[in-house]
Amino acid sequence: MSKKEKKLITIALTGNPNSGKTTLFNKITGANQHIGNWPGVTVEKKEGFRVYKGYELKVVDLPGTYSLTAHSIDEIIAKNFLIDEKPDVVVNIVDASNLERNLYLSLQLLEMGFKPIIALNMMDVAYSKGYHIEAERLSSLLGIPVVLLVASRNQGIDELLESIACIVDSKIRIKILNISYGNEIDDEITKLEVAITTNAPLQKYPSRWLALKLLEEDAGIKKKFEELKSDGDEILKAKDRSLARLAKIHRNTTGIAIAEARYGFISGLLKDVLKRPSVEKESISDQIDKRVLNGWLGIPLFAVILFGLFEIIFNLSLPLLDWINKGFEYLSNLASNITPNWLGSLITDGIIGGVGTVISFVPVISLLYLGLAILEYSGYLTRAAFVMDRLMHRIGLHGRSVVPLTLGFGCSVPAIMAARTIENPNDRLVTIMVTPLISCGARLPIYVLLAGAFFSAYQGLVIFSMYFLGVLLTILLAWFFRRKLVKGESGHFVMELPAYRIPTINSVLLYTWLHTKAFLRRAGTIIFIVVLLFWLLDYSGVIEPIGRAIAPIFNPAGFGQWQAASSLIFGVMAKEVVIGAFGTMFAVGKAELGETITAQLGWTPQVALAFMAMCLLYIPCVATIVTIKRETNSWKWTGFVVGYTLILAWIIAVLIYQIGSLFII
Amino acid sequence: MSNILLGLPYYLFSIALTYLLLLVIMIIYFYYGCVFIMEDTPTIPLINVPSGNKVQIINIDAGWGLQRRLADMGLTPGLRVTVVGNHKPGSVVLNVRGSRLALGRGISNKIMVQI
Repeated sequence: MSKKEKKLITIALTGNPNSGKTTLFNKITGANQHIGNWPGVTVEKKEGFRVYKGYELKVVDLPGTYSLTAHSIDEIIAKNFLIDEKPDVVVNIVDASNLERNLYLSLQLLEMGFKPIIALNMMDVAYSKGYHIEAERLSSLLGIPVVLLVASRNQGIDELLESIACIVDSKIRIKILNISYGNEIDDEITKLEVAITTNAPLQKYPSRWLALKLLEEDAGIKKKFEELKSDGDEILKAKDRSLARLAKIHRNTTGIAIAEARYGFISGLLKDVLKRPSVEKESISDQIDKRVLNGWLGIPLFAVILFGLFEIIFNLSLPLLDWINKGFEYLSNLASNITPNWLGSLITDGIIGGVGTVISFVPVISLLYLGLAILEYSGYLTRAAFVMDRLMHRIGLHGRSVVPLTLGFGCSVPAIMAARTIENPNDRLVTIMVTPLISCGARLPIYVLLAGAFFSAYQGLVIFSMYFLGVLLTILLAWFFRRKLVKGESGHFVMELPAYRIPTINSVLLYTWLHTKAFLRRAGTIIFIVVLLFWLLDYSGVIEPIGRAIAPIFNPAGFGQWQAASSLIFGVMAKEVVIGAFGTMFAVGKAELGETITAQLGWTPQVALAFMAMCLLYIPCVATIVTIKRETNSWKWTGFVVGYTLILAWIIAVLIYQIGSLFII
Repeated sequence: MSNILLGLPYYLFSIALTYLLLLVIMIIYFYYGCVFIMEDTPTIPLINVPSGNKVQIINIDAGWGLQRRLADMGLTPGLRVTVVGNHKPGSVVLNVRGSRLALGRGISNKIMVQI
C-alpha cells in the first residue's frame, strides 16, 4: 500500500433522534456530504467523507431511531444497513443527559453482536443537570470504547476519530455481553437458539439474536424464516409454543417483558456508573414549555411566530427578486440580438428565461429553509407540531402536517418533501394532496399585478383573500379527503420533546445551503427542462391554437379569451410565468399590462378575481407534480391531484365570477 | 363455686384462642393489606392527572404496536413517571426515565395510572 493510498473505511452513525447525531455528522464531514434518498423509499440518506490520518472515512448517517425492531421504516433501514453493509465501525451517539433511554438502542446493537463506539454527546447538558458519569467504568462494563463529546462545541471529535482509527487497526476480541431477560425467557431463548442453529441457521445473523427477535415478534425476522419453507416453519411453530408458555407466566406480552428486562439491565448499569442529583429541578425547557404548550396560549403563539417568519421572508426576498429579475432582463436584452433568430430566441427566452425562472426561486426557498432550520434546531418545531395536532386532528391531518403546510407558502416542492416526517401513510398522503392548494410564492406576482390593476385601493385585502381562500380550501378538502377517500387509522401522537437549544450559526447555514442545493438540483432541472419545452412549443406556434381551443371553457368564469387560456397553459410550467406570458402576448411590459387587459379583453374586477383564484388552485406546476409522484410513488394519486385541482379551480373561478357579477363594484 | 373453678381453664383457653386468632388475622391483614389498600386507590387515565404528580403506570389499553412504540421510548408498565405538564385539553408531558415525552390526548386516555 503506497503512502498516497488511503484505506477506505465505512462508518455508520446510529443513535436516538435529538441525540446530536446530525451535528456530529456535520462536524465530521463538513460540507463534504450528500443528501439523497435510501433506495426505493423517501427517507433521507446522508453520506459524507472525511480524511483522517491514513484513512478515508465514508460516514453514513443512519436515520435516528429509538430501537432496532422492524416497526418503522427508519428502523428497518438502519437495521438492514448494519446487517447487509457491515460497516467497519459503528458509532452510537448517546445523549449523556438522557442516558437511560439512549442506552436502550446501545443494548440492541450489542445484542446484534456489534461492538459500537459509544459517543457520549451533550456532556455539557449532562453536567449542567448535575450528572456525573463514570465513562471508564461504563466502557469496561459494556466492553466497548466510550468517548466523551460536546459535538456542538467541537469537543471530543478528534478523540472519536482516534478511537475509530484504533478500532480499525486493532484486532482486539471484545467480550460478548449477555443480558438476562428473566429466567423463563432466557430458557426459551436458549431452546430456540439451539433449534435454529441445528435446523435453520441464517447466514448473517447470530442465532441467539434471531431467537430473541422471534420472541419479540419482529416482523422482518419472521418473514426470513417464512422464506425457509418447512425448516423455517418448524422454527416458527417452536416460537409459538414458547410464546404460549411465556404467556401463562407474564401478564404483559413477551415483547414488553423483554423491553422491561433491557431497561432493568440499564438501571443496574447506571447505578454503577451515573450519579444524579436526587431532585431534578425544573429545567428552563420545562418552564418555556409551560407557556408554549399551554392549551390556550400555544396556538396563538404559533400563529404569531409563523406570521413573523413570513414577514421576514417576504420583506427580504422581494427586493432580492427584483434585483435578480433586473439582472436577467439585462442579459436577455444583450442576447436578443443574436442571429439567427431562432437561436437568439432560444437563448433569450429558453435558456436565460429558464435559468432565470429557477434562480428566481432561490431567495424564497433559501429563506424558508433558513427559518425552518432555526425552528427545528431550536426545538420549537416539535412543540409547534404538538400544539397544532389537536386542530390538525379535527381536520384529518397530523400535527406534523404543519411543516409542509407552512413551507407551502414559499414553494410546494420542499413542502411536499417535508411531509416525509409524517409517519402515518394516510396522514402523509392527505397532507401531500392538499399542500398545492396553499398559495405559494410563485403566485404572488400574479396577485400583485392584478390586484394592483383592478382593486388599487383594496389590493392588500384582495391579496390576503387569496391566501385565505387557499387555507380555507386546504382545511375543507383535507377533511373531505380524510373522511371519504383515504380512510384508515391515523397516527398516534407520541413524541420526545428535546430540550430547547440555541441553534449554532454553522449548522443553520449548512442546513440551508444543503437543502437549497438539493432543491436546485431536483426541481431546478425539471423547471429548466420544462421552460425549454415550452419555448419550443411556443416558438413552433403550437400554444396559441391550443389556447384558442380551450378558451371557451373559461367563459363562465369571465376569462374565456385565448390570451388568458394560453397564459394559463404557460403557468403549468411555473406559475409566475403567467404574467410574463400575458405580457409577451400583448407585447407590453408589466406596468401597462393591467390597462391593456382591461382595454383589450374587457376584464372587470370580478374577472380578475376569478382569474386569480384559478391561478391559485389549478394544477400544480410541473416541478410539484414530479415531486408528488416521487414522494407518493403512485401515478394514481398524482393523477388524482392534477384532476381534482383542475376541477376545483374551475368551479371556484366560475362561482367567483358569477356571484361577483351580481354586485356592481 | 366449684363449677366456675372447674370451667376456668376452658374459659382462659377460649380467650387465648380468640386472641391468637385475632393476632393471626392482623398479621395476614398487614402482610397482604397493601394489596387491599392499593386496590382501593382508583386507576385513572393519565389525561386526568394534574401537573406535578408522580404516577405509576398500571396498564396501557392499546394495541400491540403502540405498546411496543411506547416501550421503545421508555414507557413500560409498572414504571413510575412524573407528569411534568398537563395541558388540557391538549397534551400531557411526562418525565420518562429522564426524557420528556409528549403524548396526545388519544394516548393519554388509554394509559391507566395510579397516583
